Amino acid sequence: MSNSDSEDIEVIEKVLAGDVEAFSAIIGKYQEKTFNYVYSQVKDYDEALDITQEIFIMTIEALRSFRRESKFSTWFYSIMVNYCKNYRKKNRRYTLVPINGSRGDEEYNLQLTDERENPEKEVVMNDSLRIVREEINKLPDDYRDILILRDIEGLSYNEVAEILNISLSNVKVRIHRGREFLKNRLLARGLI
Amino acid sequence: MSGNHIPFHKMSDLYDNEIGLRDERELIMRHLSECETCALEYRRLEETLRLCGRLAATMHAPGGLPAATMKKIISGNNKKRFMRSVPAIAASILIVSGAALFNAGIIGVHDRGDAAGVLSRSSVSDSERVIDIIRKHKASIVLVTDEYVEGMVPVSSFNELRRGLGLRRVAYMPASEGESDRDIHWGNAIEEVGVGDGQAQMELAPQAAPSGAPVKYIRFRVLR
Repeated sequence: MSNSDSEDIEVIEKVLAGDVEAFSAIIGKYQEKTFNYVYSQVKDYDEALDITQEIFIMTIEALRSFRRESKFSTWFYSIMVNYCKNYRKKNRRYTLVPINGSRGDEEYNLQLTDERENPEKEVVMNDSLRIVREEINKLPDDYRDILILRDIEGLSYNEVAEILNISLSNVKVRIHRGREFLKNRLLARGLI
Repeated sequence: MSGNHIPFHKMSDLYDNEIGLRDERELIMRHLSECETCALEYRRLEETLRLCGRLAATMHAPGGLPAATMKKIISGNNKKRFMRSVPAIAASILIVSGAALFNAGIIGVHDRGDAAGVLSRSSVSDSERVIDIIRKHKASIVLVTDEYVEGMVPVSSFNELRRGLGLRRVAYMPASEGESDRDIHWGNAIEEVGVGDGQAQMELAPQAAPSGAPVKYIRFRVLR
């Protein structure tokens, strides 16, 4: 078991023993990847925030069903991916009802802080990256999800296979095709 | 391999260091050093994946997300759902809630004035202020990056929003509903620091959105 995984297990045990606040460590650790993935699926900042929160709420609710047969991160990402998949399905058929307000919850003002580890490091979200995001969004679902998990979120092939419940060879085939598709699209748009 | 080119999936494997056989890897590397077509193709793959990698670094979840999510978990409807799923936690929720009320001065004699402390605003960055201002002016937030906060606002609310933003640098352009990002060229945007009454709307009124549709919204970026 890796250090990261044993830290997660430690937190989960605390939560299950009644220390609810300990769960904020899990949120803190996974929020960036979750928010990035959700944003890539819904393309709306506020909606991505709502869904990210909802995913963490679902996770804490389901904690007792985590059997520790896989790493916590893998289990968590499966919840995230499935949530977004269901969301996309619903959203194709119905008009979206925002999560905030639909349950009568009060509004929470989220604090925005400078998240950069090194504020001097220049990270530019320029129009090129906007085009990349746009082209990734146009990929067929099967290719896009894998490409995001592997090449943006940085998960391993094995983790992606476990999260999506598909074979390793299937992951590889899809990642190769997704990359080729994206490369050709970026080439056509003069980015590479 | 000298007569043929390297198939794309092999390049992709090479990038991931997934070529198991040392001989095969050396063969591919040699071919890449000799074949300009394959070398160019491999560089394009590298550039594609470099851009993908940079995407991860550009979107940030708000710093207050853990606290806000925890507040949702231990309050309101979620409390019932959560307590049902983990009964042992019910008691601790009472303790946590009690502590929060205590800190807020609702229980006990202290009056710290930092309501529950969960979302206390000890240091509010300018990005937070900008987002607060945008939300107060019927505008939606499209994107938050290290460089700017991007949003969309009805034309009728734009001037008020500009006044709310004070002397911050803002780039903006007309937009129509459902306009694709592809139609927006920020190079053509108007960029200003501060605004006089009605000035922005007057400049925008005669224009059409980039897509040619009637202007109903203003797409803007509040720059850092």
